[in-house]
Amino acid sequence: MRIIILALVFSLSQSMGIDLAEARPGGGHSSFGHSSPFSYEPSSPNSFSYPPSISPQYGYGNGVVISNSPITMIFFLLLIIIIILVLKNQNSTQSFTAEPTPFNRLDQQNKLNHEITLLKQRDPNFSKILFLDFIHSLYCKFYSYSTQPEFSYLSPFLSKELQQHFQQAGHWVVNEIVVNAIHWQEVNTQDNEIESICLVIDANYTLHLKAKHTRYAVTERWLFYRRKGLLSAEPEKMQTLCCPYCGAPAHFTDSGLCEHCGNTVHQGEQQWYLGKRAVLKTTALETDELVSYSPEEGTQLVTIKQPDLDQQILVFQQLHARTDWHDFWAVFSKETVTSYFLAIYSSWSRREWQTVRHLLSDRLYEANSFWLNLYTQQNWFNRLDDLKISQIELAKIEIDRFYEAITVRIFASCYDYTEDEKGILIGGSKRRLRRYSEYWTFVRRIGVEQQQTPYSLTQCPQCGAPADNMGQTGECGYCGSKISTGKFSWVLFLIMQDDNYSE
Amino acid sequence: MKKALTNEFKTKLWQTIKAIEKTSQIEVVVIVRNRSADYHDVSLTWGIISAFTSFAYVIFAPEFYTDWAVFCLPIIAFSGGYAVAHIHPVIRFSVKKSRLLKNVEIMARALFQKGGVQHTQAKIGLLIYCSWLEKTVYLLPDKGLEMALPQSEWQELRTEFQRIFNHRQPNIRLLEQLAKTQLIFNHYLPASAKSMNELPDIMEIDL
Repeated sequence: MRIIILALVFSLSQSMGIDLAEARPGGGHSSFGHSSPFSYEPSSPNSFSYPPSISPQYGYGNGVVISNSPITMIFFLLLIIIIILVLKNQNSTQSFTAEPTPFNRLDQQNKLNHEITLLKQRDPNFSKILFLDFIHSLYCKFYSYSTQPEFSYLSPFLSKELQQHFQQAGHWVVNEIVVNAIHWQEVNTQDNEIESICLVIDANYTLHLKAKHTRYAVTERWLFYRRKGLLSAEPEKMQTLCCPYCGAPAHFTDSGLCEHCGNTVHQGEQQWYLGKRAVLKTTALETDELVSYSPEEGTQLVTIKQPDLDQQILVFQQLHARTDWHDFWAVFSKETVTSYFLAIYSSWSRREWQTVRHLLSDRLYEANSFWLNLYTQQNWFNRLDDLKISQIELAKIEIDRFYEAITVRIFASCYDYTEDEKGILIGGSKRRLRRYSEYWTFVRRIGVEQQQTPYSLTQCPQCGAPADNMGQTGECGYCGSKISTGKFSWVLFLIMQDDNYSE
Repeated sequence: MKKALTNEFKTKLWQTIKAIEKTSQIEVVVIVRNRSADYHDVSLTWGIISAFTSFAYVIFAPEFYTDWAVFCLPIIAFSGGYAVAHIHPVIRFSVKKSRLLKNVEIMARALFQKGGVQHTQAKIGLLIYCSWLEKTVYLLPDKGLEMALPQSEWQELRTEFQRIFNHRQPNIRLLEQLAKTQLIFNHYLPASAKSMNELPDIMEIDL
């Protein structure tokens, strides 16, 4: 298309240029005197011959254009404009597919918040944090047990249809399951008999089939149901898959009989169960994606704040018998947000993820461990030099019966690059400062108070022993306490990028 | 087409789709495209005819033209003809209706497949494809959905949707027509408390 335009412009300019040259052979005087270019009358209407007045004596054997009037030029210009417009218009052949606009998303978010409020009013035990823990456990087990006999252990948590889901599947093994993000999509409390929660899960896992290993990134929509009016189980029964009656680890028969206590658990009668699932997207993952440095998106956007944030601050103050929010915020932003941020990214850069195990929730730790292992396998380091926080903004406070969560937006900058062990640059830049922002959500069990003395990140918050012996599960090797549940101090529960975060 | 796809239209379109899906099990996907095919042959034909005509004119015209003009004018005329043949009414005038409809159908089926509309368990996806150049709306239901509604109902729906292009603002008519279908789908495939949207909200269709 560009060639056509260029050819057109070139030919037009050429023709105009020649016209002018021929009109000014003697340095500015027209061959036609002062007459109009159209004043020439051919000798015969149908003949093709040189005009007698000019061609022989001026030596321009090629003749003269007679149609170089302003009207002609306008015609050509209009033609060019039409061509450019048409060709430009031709580029818009991409499809427009109906999808939610920002207004639709806001509307959906408001409805979601309203429904969650209704759900919490009816079920005061309902905690989003605990529910996500439950989903995380179920998701991991659903795939790791998929073709194993243990799949029947999940019978109370799956619909009849889903219990048969993998019966026809090949003998594959799924492991290294990483849940990257869980998005709330819809909560429905309007039905008379059941309540439902719809989530979208971004995850990835490795599928081993006939000695071949493929890493898949998947996006799935999961829909959970339970009988209306049910109270959510206490944290210990939500954080693992267990029998709702006796609390023993999930060991059920196909019919939902607990092998420990002998009670039969029916779907949705005591706990949420997965009623439907749909795979929305599946792609095979490549290692190259580790060093894909796409530009930051959304850093310039306004911070998404909870609509009733001021009210939630008051609730938080009342809960902790505080009169001044600013005192808490000053300490929290310095000793928790800043300290955690710098410590966590420092460990990430050094590939010493275990050193911050006690600061992270189980899900966040596992998800990032997987990626860090990939760096280790490649012998790469993701360096974050000169990491600085420029601003911390409060975005959300959420309090339920068991947990309190504070979400902040952190604006930071660093030189973000990946290099191998010899210092050879693999991706990113050592010279270009990368500015970005992220939403970090910290959670803590209700009842835990901020310590008077600054919290040491290198110590177990329960026994004070060095935090050098934290197991993979977040349990202190000295006192045995599970630190990663927020029972003793704040833990980082979630990291969301600007373009993914919604209130 | 671009003018029709305002933010207001997009917002209302999504709301209308959600309203249909809330009251029925159906999964609706609406795709709008400027055109369903490139019609390069039409442009080339127009270009060649224009070039030939202009060449014949400058050769046999009573006026006198320079060599450059004789050289350039057919090129300009070709470009002009090629460009003019991109104007929608010109294409519709130049191409048989059956070919236009065939192209719409081919594109609709490609979008249906590439967009994964068939990935619903009960096969109840519906693609509503609007092609602006061809002034055609193509309804492509999945097997389950096609069987769920009587053929006469489909025929009527197709006729009604096709009529949106008789209106000066087809986008507004499209919204109205979509809203009307809510009752029909609710009648034949009412929603249940356990129905779930099985298609992604944002489809990445690369064609």
